[in-house]
Amino acid sequence: MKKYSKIITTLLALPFFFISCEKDVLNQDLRHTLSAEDAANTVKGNQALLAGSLIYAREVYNDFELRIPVFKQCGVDIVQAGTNLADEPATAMPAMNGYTSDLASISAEIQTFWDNYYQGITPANQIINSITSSGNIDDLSEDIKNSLGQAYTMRAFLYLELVRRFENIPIVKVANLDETGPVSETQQSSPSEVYDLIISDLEAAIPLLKKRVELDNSVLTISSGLANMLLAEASLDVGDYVTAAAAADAVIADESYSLQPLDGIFGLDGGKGGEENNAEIIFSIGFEPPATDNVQWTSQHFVPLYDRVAGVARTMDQGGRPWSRLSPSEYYWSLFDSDDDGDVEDEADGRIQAWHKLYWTFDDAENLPAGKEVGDRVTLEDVQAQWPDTPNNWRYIEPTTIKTWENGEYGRTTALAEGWRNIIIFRYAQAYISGAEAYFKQGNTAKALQYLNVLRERAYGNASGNFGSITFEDIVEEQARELGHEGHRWYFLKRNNLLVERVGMYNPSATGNIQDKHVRWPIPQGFIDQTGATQNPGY
Amino acid sequence: MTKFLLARLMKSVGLKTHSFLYLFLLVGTMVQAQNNITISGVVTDTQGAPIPGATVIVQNTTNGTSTDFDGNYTLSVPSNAILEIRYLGFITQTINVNGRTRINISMAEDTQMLEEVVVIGYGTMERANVTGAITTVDVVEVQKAPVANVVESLRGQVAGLQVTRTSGQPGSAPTFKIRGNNSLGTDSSALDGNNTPLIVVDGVPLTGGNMAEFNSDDIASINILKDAGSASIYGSSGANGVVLITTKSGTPGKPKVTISSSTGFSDLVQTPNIMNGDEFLKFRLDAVKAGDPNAANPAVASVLDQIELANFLAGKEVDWLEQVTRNGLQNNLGLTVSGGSDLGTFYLNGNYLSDSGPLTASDYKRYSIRFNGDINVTDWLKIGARVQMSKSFSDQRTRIVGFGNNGVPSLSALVESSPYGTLIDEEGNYTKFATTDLFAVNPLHKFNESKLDENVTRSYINPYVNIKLAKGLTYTMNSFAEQRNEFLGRFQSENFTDGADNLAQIRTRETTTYLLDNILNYKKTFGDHSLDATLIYGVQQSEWTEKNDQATKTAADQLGYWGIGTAPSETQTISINTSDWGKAYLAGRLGYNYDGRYSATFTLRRDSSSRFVDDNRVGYFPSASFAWNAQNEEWWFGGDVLNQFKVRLSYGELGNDDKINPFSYQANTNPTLIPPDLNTTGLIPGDVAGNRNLKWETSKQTNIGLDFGFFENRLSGSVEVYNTKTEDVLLLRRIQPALNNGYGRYPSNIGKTENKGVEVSLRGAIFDTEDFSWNMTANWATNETTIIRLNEVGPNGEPLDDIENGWWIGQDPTEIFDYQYEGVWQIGETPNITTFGNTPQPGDPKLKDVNGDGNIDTNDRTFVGNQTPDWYGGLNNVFRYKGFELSVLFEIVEGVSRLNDIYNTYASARQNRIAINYWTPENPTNDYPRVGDGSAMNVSGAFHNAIFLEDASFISLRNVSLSYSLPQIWLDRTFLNQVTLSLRGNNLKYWTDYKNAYSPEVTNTDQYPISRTWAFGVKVAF
Repeated sequence: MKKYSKIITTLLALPFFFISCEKDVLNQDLRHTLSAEDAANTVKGNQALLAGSLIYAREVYNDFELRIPVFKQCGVDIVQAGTNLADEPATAMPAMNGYTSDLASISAEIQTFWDNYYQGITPANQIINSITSSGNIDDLSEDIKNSLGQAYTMRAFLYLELVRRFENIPIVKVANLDETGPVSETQQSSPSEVYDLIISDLEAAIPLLKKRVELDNSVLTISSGLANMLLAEASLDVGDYVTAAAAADAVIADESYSLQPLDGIFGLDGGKGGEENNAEIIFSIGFEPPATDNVQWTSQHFVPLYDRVAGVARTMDQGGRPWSRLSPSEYYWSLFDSDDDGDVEDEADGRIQAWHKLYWTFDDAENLPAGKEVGDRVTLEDVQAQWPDTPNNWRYIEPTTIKTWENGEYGRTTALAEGWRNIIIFRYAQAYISGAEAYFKQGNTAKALQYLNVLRERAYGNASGNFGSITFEDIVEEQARELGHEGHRWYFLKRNNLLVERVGMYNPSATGNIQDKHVRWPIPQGFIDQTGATQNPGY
Repeated sequence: MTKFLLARLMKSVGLKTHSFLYLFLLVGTMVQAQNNITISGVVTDTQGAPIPGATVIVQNTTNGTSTDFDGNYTLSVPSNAILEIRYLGFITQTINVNGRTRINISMAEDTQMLEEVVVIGYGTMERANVTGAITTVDVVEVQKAPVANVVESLRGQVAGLQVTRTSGQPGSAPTFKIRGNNSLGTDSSALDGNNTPLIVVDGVPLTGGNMAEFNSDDIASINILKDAGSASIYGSSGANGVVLITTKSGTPGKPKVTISSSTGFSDLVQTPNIMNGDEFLKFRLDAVKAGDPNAANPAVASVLDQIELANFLAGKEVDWLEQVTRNGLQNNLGLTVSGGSDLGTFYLNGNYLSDSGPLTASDYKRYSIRFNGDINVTDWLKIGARVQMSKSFSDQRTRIVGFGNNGVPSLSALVESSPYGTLIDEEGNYTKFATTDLFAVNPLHKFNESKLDENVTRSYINPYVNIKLAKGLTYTMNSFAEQRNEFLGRFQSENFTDGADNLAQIRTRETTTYLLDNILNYKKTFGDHSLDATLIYGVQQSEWTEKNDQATKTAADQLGYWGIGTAPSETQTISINTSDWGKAYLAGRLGYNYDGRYSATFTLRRDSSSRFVDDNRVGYFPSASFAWNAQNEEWWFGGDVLNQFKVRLSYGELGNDDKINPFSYQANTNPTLIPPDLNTTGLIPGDVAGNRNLKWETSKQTNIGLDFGFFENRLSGSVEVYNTKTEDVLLLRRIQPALNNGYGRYPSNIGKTENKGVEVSLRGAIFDTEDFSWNMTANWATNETTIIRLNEVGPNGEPLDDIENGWWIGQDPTEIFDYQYEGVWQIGETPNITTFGNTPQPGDPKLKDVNGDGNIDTNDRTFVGNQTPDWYGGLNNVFRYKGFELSVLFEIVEGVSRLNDIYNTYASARQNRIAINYWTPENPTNDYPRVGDGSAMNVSGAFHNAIFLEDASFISLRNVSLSYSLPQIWLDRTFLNQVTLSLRGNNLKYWTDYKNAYSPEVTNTDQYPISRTWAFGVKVAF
């Protein structure tokens, strides 16, 4: 019996051998997400792929770690370092603004910027490959044509940013990692090869795309207006002024756009469907409250530390949370100071009042300095009294631009540095400036004058500010007055060979630092180390 | 047979009247026997305590009985019978009846058995036959340390096992490793985690390897498997060594009840010297002058803000560290009931532990219950189960960090807040900020306005079946199911920081683990040969799910994080994360011994893991090890002087797959809002590419060991020498996203490390008399890890450094590469050197010109030290005098360099810091350079780290335990068997040069300080 019971017991235990079947145990599935391959085959994964380039273009403003959300405003003649730019990583915006020795190939932020923009090119390449390989473009549906046009436009957008900053960059292909393993071999193209690709992409895109009015009328949608604006910019860069002028004219003629009142362009009234969607904007990168991981980080940079002043409270009206990373330069203010009296408040140019905060007022009744009332304007004497020995702190009340500011419209609080306003990439007024530049370079000064005066008339409310005649310097100045601190100045100065000279003259952070090599950024060291690529001269 | 069983069952449940009935029946059946006499007696242990349930049987018959509850037996036997008395855990006795009718038997505990059998993976082995490097931990000594986590109590106890604790947060687990680093991990911060040993409790490898919820009192034995010979039976997860823990079982005998209680007090063992008000003000003034001898003295008002100035003028000063510290209190209360009989044993323990750390807002409580029981169904079938349930509650507000870019850790403020800050405002509330600087958080305000609770519930059941199939052949099925739930609730009120919304977070993590092992063991001895063969087939599977809910703007602060559901739905976010893995394994071990002289063990394990695909899914892990007991040779010359001389040799291959993320073979995706509308999400690829060729890291380990004993082992010890070469180390290779479809990292098996070391353990019974004994144990270990190859190679295939992770070819993984600080340039000295092309100013640091080119630049960085000790060890002395026992354990860690981050930003005046002797024109010291904006030591400056480097070697008085057991004679008249009083201390003192830190192992200001504890305890048993 004993023997049998052992056998029976053993037999009873046998199923455990089968329960513990290897196959079930070893075939595990990732439950909460898909592999990249499977995700691309889902409807929404495919949509994400279509929007992929935009997702990465958006990262620059969304990624807190990158620390360069206003890099495009840095390093030009119309800004200087704010009092607290040094709080940023030395190799990020301080280097980009001040052309210090930290503007070097080892800058992690430059590498991340480079990686990020190239990451955006991959999905565009994938879309373009898959659509163009599927047959004759003319036979495709309108939707697919539009997708293709968008992919071409975004690829051109990303390459334009890259080639402007780095010049000698590779044109990349989709890799098959499973087959080849990681790729580390590449060839750098010359800037003209990259520009050829950009321009051919845009020329291919324009007929495939629709105008903003033909679409959903959203500033967030990639339209033929954006493609034309990019074409104007790229053509100006390479000196093809005929194409540039034609592209600018195409934008100007686009019935989607119209010049708006000065105070209706950068405001947030009415939210995403209101002012943020005004008819002057050609293209914005969208942000949507209130998700905490969906924020952008530009709002606080041009706000001085006004709340450190005794008697001035931190409120949304006064600017919300201040970071004071950048500040308009003296040169910028001088451009508006037509009577050279050191005061711009008396100027007739409406852009001064509409786009700037020129002074602060006492509003904190409990902490007022002696002799001050709520509503009094804070003066230089007030801050000098508070900080007799630290002149740097006197800058806590310096005037600034409010183009990137954000109020409480989307739930931003005084504790939040971040916000949710859209990032305006291009607006209609730029078509006039770029058009003027293109015509002037062709010798058509009259047309250039005409375009500049369109903007002058809006700024002054009448023809009193109009130019009678212009030199190229007028275009240089008007570009700053109209588009200042919107992120176009660096490219404008660069293509007109003014970057080194003007930045050295007017940006105190860069004076003495900026050199010829700085017209382009260094190729990231990580890329050079792994590919053996050639570094840009001087770095 | 059946009746016998019945009787035992009745005995075990204590049904006296029924046992009487049984005896009646039994006697009835025995009446027929001839020439029989009836004998009776009491079976006791050596101390006279009765043993119920002991078997008394006539040798070579089935005639027998078992003792009753009071140890009595009565049996009818032939007058010349030989009685055999058996009881588990005691030495079996045979006694000639010789016509006697009253025979009392005193049984001796089988201590021999306990000492000589070593728990190895999937079985046990006699110590003499062990061929690998296994250290058996002295559990009695370990359990004297008044600490919550058993890993912490292993400090200084085992050669080659290094425990470090970087945070004193009550309930937190220390990091530990065996024999240094083999693996590198995906980045340098993962180094410790990737080299954590496997912990196996009662045959079950713990997933996550965390002992935090285990009650140390439940532990019966701890064995450390250090080499391939012993650990390769764990194959793919054994490369970092294995800690084998067995939990206690009941011992047959009268049920024993033990109640223990202890109360401890804790405070900080070491505190950094932070600047007081005067020092801080002087520092700020000096920072403005920045070492310029001609600079005018700035006005006090210009270096202090309004708040600081007001407090300075009013003579008010705050010591922030003092404000947050309190007397820590530890309570530990345990109740154990254990016992059993031949039928089976049980062990039941309930334990409550509370630890209110030495900082406010950091309370930890843990409840744990364990039941280990087994039943001998027949003499060949045993079934048992181990069950544990524990729950811990931890208030971790000291870890609270503001969200978004208010992310200042509260505890940093203890060092960084201005001494002239304000603690309490005019209304009597804690201020939000100490000064006008909105980064100068007031930790006490943050504690009041936040919640951070972490609760862990862990329960498991571990049933097993043991069948003796034939003589020497046993089958064991070990099964296991565990559920571990972590709850984290976090809340910040609207008042937490100015103008912010409140924030609530609830995160739950659930780990479910299953295991099923089938183990066949065959033992046979024929002549001088003995064989011990084990075959294992098993599977293990784990499911991990994390759910993270966050929301802002909840309806009321009073609800805390439970108000998360009241938040507007658009502020609520949910994220889910999962990670599952499974493995199946087939392993065999063959042990062979010849004549007690030569032993050999061969193991081979075949692992299949869900972490890999295709051909890489299966791996083989072989090992071979040999031992020679020279003292058993006939010609042995050692005699009684050198009574043991055993040489061991092992080689094998091991893996480290547990540290490789499941699903690394495929590129993962993240949900992303899809522009332009941002109202749908889609999955886009993440940063890490998939690699279908991933495989195990393979460690090839060689170990040579020597065990020796002198004077009948009065002095014994062992020496181990090892070398481990690890290949295919998994690294996240950096690739260029531009060329690789946007992927920036690529997991690949391309690293290579080498690790070698020596370990010595000594044990001596220096005095051993009846009243007094003195035992000393000492251990010493040295270890050197070298990186051979990393994730990048040069054009000619030569290995390149990984600068981003701070990994250098030919160096230790923790090597620090920086400038070598040599002093300060003094006024009047003419520097013969430039720094980055500029002439150093007086007060600037003198740095070593490593390449001798007259200019200090990045090429002058050099290897300045690392965190791997040159050597480390422990020294434990145990003195016993009558009922007194004193243990004193020292731990020594020598040759460690750390960057002490507490000096961070010391040159800038924004935050308070350590009071250091910095250079000024009036104080021409060489200790530290000048401070202030012009200083080369600024946060973003190149030389920032150069002065952080400190020698963090230490000697610590790790544990002291003094106990007194009341003499038996006092207890005889009571129901008590044992009363022990104890006073125990842990982490009592550091002797170190690394003084400006909470301990020589802490590098940051935001870490919870390390405490020292004194605990008074009472233990009563009956």
